[in-house]
Amino acid sequence: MFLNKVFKFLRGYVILSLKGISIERFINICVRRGIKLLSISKHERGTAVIAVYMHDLERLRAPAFKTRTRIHIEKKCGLPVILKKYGHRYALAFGAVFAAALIAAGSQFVWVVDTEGAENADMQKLSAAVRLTGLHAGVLKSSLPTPKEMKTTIMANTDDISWAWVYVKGARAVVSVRVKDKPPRLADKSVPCDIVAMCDGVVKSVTAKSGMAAVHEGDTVSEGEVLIAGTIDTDDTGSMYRTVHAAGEVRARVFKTVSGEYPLYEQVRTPNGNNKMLFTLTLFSKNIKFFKNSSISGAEYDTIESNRYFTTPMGVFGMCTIHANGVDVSERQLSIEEAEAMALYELEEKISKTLTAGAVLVNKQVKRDFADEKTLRVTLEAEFEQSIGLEKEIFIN
Amino acid sequence: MNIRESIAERLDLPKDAMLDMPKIVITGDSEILVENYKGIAEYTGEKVRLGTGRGIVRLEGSGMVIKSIGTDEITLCGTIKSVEFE
Repeated sequence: MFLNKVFKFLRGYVILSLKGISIERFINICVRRGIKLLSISKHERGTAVIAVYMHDLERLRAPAFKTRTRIHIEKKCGLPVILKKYGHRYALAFGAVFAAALIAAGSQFVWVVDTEGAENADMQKLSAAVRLTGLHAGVLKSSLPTPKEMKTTIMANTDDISWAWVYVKGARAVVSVRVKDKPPRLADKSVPCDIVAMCDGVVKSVTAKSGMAAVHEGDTVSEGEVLIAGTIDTDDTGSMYRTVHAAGEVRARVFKTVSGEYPLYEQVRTPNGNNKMLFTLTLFSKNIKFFKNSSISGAEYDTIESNRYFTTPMGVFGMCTIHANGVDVSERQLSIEEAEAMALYELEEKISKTLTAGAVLVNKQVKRDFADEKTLRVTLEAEFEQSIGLEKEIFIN
Repeated sequence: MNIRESIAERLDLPKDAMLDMPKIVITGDSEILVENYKGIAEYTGEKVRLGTGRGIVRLEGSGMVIKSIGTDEITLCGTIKSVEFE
């Protein structure tokens, strides 16, 4: 179907509307005479729309005369029509050919080199390794080594990359890498230490793998208190002792209370249609501003900036667009439930930052009162079960 | 059954070629191909009547458009509702 359309376009065709009482006969005669009818649709009795190749147009005259069908040319389409219309405009034709040649030549080069997955990688080393492969903005695509060779070069010249591949998509090359996972830090077991409480709590369980448990289930402990001692007495008098690197887990119930004051209204920013677009064109690393005054009337506005840049050996090219959208600011009254929900979200976020891994929420309570007419005070009291042990080095005098 | 039909039957020859019978291929309810047709007897967007070696074939539907037409075969598109021999 696509090829048919291409041929139709290349050869040129005419869309005709027919009017007559014997359109069926007209079609039959055309078919018998070998006139290629491309599509036929009929709208109402006595009328039809057909398409024929441009060179068959003259041949329709006899069947039309025979069947008393009136033919009206609706539209001429295809390449011959375009050539006839614009063929004598040499400058335009030259410009089109030049632009096509420029695009064709430009597409043979890599203009942008991007990296993905390298957020935690050493970018300087990675960039140097990529450069060693021969990949840089402005390089001819055909001169690049194979992706496998580039991968080998990148891997050989970096320490923190576990996998790499280079994809060339059009004029853009993407260096996709995976950063090695760092091995967990090994604790130095030769350094004597205690396990102490990182916060206040009520001990739920004690598992001492090394050292001596200093607390038991149900004990109330305060921050900094020794939970598993790294100092072990070797006789009953306490004068002889040895020190170890204490290890184990102490889980405890901890109580956390956070509170905050929250307004009973929120700011609403409604677009007022007072918008402005500011363009800055970057050619050969020089910025050309297409505006005289960047200010916008009105007190408040939101700006959205979008940048499209690419680096070439000849400099940076691109465009920066700033959409400045004027807004009217108003206040919306919040219901107590809405304000409380927003407050709880914020307070829970605050608490979650103080928790250790594996913490389990046991109980929570929310209290609210009014700080003043327009402010709600919300207090969140939560009880968690979590590990509270923290290593603390023992210094021996 | 006439002589040509009985010969085609006995020798397992394709009847559309031997007896000039129409061959109709319907794809879903959206396209219909008729081979060995003789000509268009009537054509509207809702009804198409085609002359064939076995009389008139009437196709009914809606939005019927002639997609391609040649001396021996015609393809119609649209929503086909019925095919009848008159």
